[in-house]
Amino acid sequence: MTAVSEHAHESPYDSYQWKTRTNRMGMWLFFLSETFIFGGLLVSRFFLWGGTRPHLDPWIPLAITIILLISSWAMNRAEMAIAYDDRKTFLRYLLVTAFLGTLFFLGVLLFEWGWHFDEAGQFVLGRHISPTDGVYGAVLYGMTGMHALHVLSGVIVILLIWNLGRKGHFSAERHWGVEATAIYWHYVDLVWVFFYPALYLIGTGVFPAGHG
Amino acid sequence: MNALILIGLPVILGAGILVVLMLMARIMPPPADRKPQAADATVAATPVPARGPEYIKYQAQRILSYRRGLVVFLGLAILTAVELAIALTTGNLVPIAIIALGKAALILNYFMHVRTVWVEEAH
Repeated sequence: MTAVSEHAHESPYDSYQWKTRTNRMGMWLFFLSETFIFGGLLVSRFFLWGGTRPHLDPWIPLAITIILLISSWAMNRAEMAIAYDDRKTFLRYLLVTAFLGTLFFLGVLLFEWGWHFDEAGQFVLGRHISPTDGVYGAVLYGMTGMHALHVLSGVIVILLIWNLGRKGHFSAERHWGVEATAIYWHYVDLVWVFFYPALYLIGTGVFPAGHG
Repeated sequence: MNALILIGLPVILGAGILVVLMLMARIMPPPADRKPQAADATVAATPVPARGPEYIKYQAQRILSYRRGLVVFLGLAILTAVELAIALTTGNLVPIAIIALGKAALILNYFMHVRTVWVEEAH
């Protein structure tokens, strides 16, 4: 097939710009579906807890919130860097984001969920509150667990993007993969913006049964 | 309160779906009707210029975009501190909810570039 006949069969739907536009629309529809999941969890919190919340140390959630915020800034910097063909900064800040995301994930698991070794040397869950502590435990673990799962998947995707970037993929003109990863990561941050006050700030702190 | 949530949430989500569908209808006409998109998908879709005044301008834009990200991050951090201060003092739901919405707007606008969904030549 000659170059001329190839051109003749080229559809406008094949252009990178068109694909990016439809990809972007698909991504936002995906966020809409995700909003149903997280919105449902948020509603369950207000429905089941009402004007109360489990009494928890407010400083650990604050610390992991700040870590997530810094990671969002780092991700934004990485995205801006590739948009200006600054590959070195792009790769460096992707790693910073992945590191901070991992820190957030571990912070939730170790400090918030309280995985620890008990007297018998068993690795057990729930230093402050356990998932079986009625609606308080169920909602807290459900919401933080679903969010942490998204953080973990975000970290994995960031590392994949980093690996591709290291091999020379992406440029100022073509970096939809980076943009999609960045907005996914910011979406995870966006969810936490609502989860953090709902779980730790709003309502009167109470001690669930057996944790007074 | 519970009834309000049960009625309000489906209404808000339904309205959100409608808005998304309207945006889709508005921004996705057949490609034949569309002008070529030069700087469509990317933040700075122009190639890096050679050394000279254009290059200096390009670098200034890059630094400005980095600085904007930092300012947004600082805004989010300050709003989070205010949120915590309100929770520790009054614990009032309304200001905390307003601050959370403000933070969400910052993230959506500056970090998630939500306007790129409907603006043709965004960034």
